[in-house]
Amino acid sequence: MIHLQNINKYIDSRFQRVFILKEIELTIEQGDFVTLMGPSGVGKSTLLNIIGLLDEDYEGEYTFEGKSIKAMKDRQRSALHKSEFGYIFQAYHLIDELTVYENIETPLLYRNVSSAERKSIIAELLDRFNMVAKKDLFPEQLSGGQQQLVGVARAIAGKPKVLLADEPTGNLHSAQAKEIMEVFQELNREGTTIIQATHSRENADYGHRLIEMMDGKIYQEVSI
Amino acid sequence: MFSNYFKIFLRNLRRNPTYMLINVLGLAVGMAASILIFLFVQHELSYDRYHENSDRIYRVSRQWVNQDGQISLHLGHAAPPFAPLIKSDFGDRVEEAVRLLSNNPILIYEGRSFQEEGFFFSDPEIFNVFSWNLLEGDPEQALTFPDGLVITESMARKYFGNEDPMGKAIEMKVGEFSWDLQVRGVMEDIPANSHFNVEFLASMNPVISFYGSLDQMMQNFGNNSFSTYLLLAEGADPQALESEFPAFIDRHMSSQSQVPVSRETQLNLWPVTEIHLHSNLDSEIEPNSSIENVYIYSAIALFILLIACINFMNLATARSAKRAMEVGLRKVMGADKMLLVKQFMSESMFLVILALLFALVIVWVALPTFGNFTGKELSLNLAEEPQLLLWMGVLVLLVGALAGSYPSLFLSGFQPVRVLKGTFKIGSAHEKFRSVLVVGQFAISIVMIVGVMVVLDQLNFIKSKDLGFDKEQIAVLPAYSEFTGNYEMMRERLLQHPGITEVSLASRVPSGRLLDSQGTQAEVNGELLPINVRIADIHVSHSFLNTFGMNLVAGRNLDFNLASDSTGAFLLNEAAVRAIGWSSPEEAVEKQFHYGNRRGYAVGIIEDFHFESLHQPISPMVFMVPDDRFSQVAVKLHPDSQDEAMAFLQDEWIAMKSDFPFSPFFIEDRFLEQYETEEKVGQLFGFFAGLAIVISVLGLFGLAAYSTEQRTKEIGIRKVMGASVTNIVTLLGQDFLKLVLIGFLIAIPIGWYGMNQWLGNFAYSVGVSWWVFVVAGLVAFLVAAITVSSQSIRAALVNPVDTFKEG
Repeated sequence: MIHLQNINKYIDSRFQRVFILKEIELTIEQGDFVTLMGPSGVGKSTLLNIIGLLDEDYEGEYTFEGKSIKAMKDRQRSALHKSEFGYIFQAYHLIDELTVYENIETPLLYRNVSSAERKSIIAELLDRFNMVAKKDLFPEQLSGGQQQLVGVARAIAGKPKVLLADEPTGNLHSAQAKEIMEVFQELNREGTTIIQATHSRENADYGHRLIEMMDGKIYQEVSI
Repeated sequence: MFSNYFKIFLRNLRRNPTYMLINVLGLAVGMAASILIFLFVQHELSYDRYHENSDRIYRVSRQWVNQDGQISLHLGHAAPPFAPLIKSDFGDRVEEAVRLLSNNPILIYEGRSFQEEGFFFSDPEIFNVFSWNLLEGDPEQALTFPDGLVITESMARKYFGNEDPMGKAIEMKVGEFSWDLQVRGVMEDIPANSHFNVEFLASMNPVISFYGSLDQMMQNFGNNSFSTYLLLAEGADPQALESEFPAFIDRHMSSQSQVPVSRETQLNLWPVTEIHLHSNLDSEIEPNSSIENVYIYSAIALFILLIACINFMNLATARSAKRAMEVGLRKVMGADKMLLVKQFMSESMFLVILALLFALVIVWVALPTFGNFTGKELSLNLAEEPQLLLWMGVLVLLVGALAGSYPSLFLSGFQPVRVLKGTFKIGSAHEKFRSVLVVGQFAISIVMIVGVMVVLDQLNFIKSKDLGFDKEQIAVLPAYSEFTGNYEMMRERLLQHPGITEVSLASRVPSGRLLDSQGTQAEVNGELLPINVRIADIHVSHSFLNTFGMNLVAGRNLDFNLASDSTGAFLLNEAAVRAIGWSSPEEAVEKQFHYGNRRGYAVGIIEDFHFESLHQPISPMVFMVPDDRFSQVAVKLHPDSQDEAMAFLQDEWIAMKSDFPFSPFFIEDRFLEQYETEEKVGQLFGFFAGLAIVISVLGLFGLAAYSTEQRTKEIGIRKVMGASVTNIVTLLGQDFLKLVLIGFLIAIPIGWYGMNQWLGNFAYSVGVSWWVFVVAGLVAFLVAAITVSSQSIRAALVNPVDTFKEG
């Protein structure tokens, strides 16, 4: 599904070239649950951004379902981005001015989903995450775990094939983290491909593949 | 989607009330100001356009050209024969030609008498030219009656109350000449946007009898006091017509000299719709406005609006960093650039619409005051004025787009990855843009402050300038025949009162215009030569100089006891001496001087003084004692007993049984009235400059608050490193003050140029002094410093530990 071939990303400073990612070779199949692990600054987030089409400044070949990303037009890339990917952030990044309901609704608005359909999708998600009672609250009125649940709900509202999560539990305590990871596991069972970046070994245990990174390179891969 | 934008807009409103208030209020005030001025300008531009055929109505004006080919006089009036002659000669192109003769007669009805203004003798076809509606009576017939009179509704109420005015007789007195008029028609009041106001239209018959006969009237090319209007046939070319006037003049007027008459006098055509704003001739029915005023007002409106827009953009972009996160997220969630632009644009539009609503309320509240101030009846009736509605729609779109475009394009261009990572920082290009805006804002404010000060300075200069004579405590009354007939006796009687120090008669008094002149010959180097310069004449009684306190620089005053002084003595002013070419006032004395038909000598030279307003340079003038051209009595009062003297004067006036009501004016007041337009501009400038500063300060306040907030962490770090409060206030303040300084530098040439242009309206002006800029700069600088430091001091006093916790 996702195929990365010899991906390099670097910054040229005056005397040397600093590699952020170097010679990345990675293939991810539909239904995979992949964990990227490694210390801070190793390039996990950058790799996620590249996979999620948020970062186009790299060298190498990236094909998604057999189509080369580089060869795509902006419009196609943007359409692909919209339809195939969902994002979850460490700091939740909910829109403060919007309620829980409206936050989940936002991606649907950008996908021109009809009003009736939006309602049913959101109702289903709220129900699934036990947040029906909280739908009219604003993010600041929720706990971190609840905010991240909204983040997950928002990410999957558009029914993406790939869910990208950058340190999704980094700001949460362990009980909340466990809840989120269980949601991930369930989503994966339903067929969603998940790629997460994390420091936590426990989180990795929920996935199938563990990719350890070091200095911008893939150091080793472990199957779980 | 749209409701989503609106929701976000409302929530932002609730979350940041101060920011929103500053933004909306600033814009609302700016919009209100420009709507008010728009209403005024619209009114100014609408003059005389209500006539059905306004595009075909032309006024005939008359010019005199001296031998050098220069225009020596240009009147908005013409002589009585022109209208009928033009109509008969150019019948194919001129549908109608009518004359109006203005007069201020006494009208008497049932024992009540009024001296009326807006009274005109008129040709009966007047209603074919101007679209004035008769409510009663037949427009074709009303003025064909020899005693015909048409009055306005208001006048009908004034004279007859609720009675039917038709057929009522009103007695009219013009001097000793009396006539019975009968009301033959009632017309709607003349719209305020007419270049002259009409209350009464009377048949031309009394004028004809005044001339003796129609033939004599048709011979008189010398009395140029008839306002003459033409209705051209459709498709007729006014320029072509005008070019045929010289031949026309030569055909009808006989020349006294060798050259054709058309070399000395010309006729011109003015479109009626251009009179109010463009015509400022030596005579007009009523003083007109000027297009320049319209420009000044429009510029002020534009400035204010611009400042308000700048504010809006500034605050919106300043806040954009706060919203960068939101934008980044929306992009990650699939919003494309267009959608984001739309979102921010519509937010900007909502804000502008909100501001417009506020602005309309402000306009509604301020309109009566503004109307009073401009002396116009302005109204804001949106339902009746689709044009205004359209204009407001355009205003909202324009301001909304202008104010929303930068923030929206800027915000939507954010790189989501960088924003979400938290490494996002507003680029220096953006800060530069904001700085440019602040600079522009302050430049405009400073220009406006400079404007106010120069206008006030000039007005002050005019008011306090020594006019060359003593303008105080001189009361002026109309000179009617009972008075002039017994002048010497009346003068003696008035002088009995200790409060009256001198009395004099004159054809014109200072503060009026100098419109009369005749041909001049003077003895230069022993030879009697014709003088090509126009020398204006004033006919006076012997006591004129003493009444007005003018100074003689050579020769002597007119002497009542010398009989020859009443027929052959002239007083000249220094300007006339220079114009004639005499080397000094002393040389001029006892030189031969011929003026019109009068032959005599220059007996005295008067020091130059300002007869006309300071808009005009001092013109050459000659004073002489005539027999019958007096129109005004000037009475010099003693400053200590002015009130008693006025009471005495009134008693004497009434005792003479004159029909003229006792309504004197004071020379001093008349002079001040001539600067009324400038006074208005000054006040307007003052008010709007204040407004500009307030809006700029609002913006600066918001910007300073924002930038301080942005830098709380930096301030905390600096404090931990040992920076004092002063260090920090200076650090935060200097950026802004630098901008004000640049704005100031930009404002100097603009203000200097603009105000010199304005001062060009005056023959005598103070010039633009350097201290004006110093004061304007200081004001702007101080206001900015106070605004910014109020913010930065607060920030500097915060305990750094608190800021770190939050961060």
